[in-house]
Amino acid sequence: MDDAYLKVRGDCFAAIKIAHDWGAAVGHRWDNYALVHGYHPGFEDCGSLWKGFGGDLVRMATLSRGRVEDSSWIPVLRTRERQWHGVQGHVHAAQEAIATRGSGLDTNKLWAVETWREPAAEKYRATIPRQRAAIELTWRSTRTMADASKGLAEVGTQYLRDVTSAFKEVNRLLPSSFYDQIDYGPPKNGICSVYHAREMEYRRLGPPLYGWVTGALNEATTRMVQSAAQWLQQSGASDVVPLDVVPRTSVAGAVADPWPTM
Amino acid sequence: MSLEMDPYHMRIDIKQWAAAASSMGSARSEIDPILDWAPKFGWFDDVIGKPYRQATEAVGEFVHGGQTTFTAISGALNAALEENLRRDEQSAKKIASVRPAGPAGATGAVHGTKYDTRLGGQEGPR
Repeated sequence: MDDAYLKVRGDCFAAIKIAHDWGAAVGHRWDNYALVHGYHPGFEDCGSLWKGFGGDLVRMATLSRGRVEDSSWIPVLRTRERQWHGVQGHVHAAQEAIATRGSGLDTNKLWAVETWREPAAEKYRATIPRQRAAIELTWRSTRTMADASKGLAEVGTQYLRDVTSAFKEVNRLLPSSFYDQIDYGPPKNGICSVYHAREMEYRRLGPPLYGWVTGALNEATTRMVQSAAQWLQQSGASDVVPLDVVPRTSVAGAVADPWPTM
Repeated sequence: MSLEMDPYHMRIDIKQWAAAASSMGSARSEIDPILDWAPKFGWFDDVIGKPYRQATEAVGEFVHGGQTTFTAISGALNAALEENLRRDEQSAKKIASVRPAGPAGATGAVHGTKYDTRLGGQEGPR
């Protein structure tokens, strides 16, 4: 498998795992603390918001991890790119075979055409340029598919990089020592000093952070979808690969008259 | 000769269409594994997998159609050539059957005479 893809995928998983573990640890540590120290006034106010934020992070991390696990299409499309190039090469050979250069298919030069005036011959002559147009269309289609495969694979890889960046930024902002300070003791007189400070930090960072990482993921997804759509319907490609109006007939039916009965 | 198209260039045409069909056959052998790519890639499939597959199938039809068409053209031309050659051979035999007796090897005597069936029995040089 593609080494570059494996590295990007590994980085992405690692960044997601840190955020996931942090969120899970916060929830777990808070539950454990409440279990050991029992109920004290102010507990919920002090820690539940953090616990909620930890849960949100876990959910986001799980969603993102699922998408990364689904990313096996990226190396598959890289393989498709090579395969499309192979198809393109064979189509090009067919194109060469029926090119005008020095061939009997040059309807403008060969005296043979002059001596062949039957209706069937007229249809034959009309068929030649149609088939050339069809093979040209096929060649361009295969080229577009090769380019699209490559582009989509790059778009997917960039998506993984975007997700990695988003989680790295989240991880950077997370108060790493937060749950080490939980065990300082129960709140006094309804005020948990340690939590109070962290409470303020949460109110400052938490919601924006959650909104930011959610936005970053959505943005990365939207960017990927738009780029993919552009690759599949790029300028001129809609004529080559008419996704919405794909003719469900063969080339013979689509671009040429039925072959004349001779 | 009574061929509507000269056999030399007809054969070139046949050869070229056959070569094109052969190349398209090779292209088909390359594209068929791609067309067999049926696995659904979860989330990706919902986003871009379906249009990609549709495009793949469309191009696949073009490749298959190209092979079929070029094979058909080559075959039809070949059949026409064979038919013309057969008719030409029959025509030659018919001419030979009405050829007047003469010295062995005097095959040119039939041209330009009333025995020349190509002229509808008219006498005189062409």
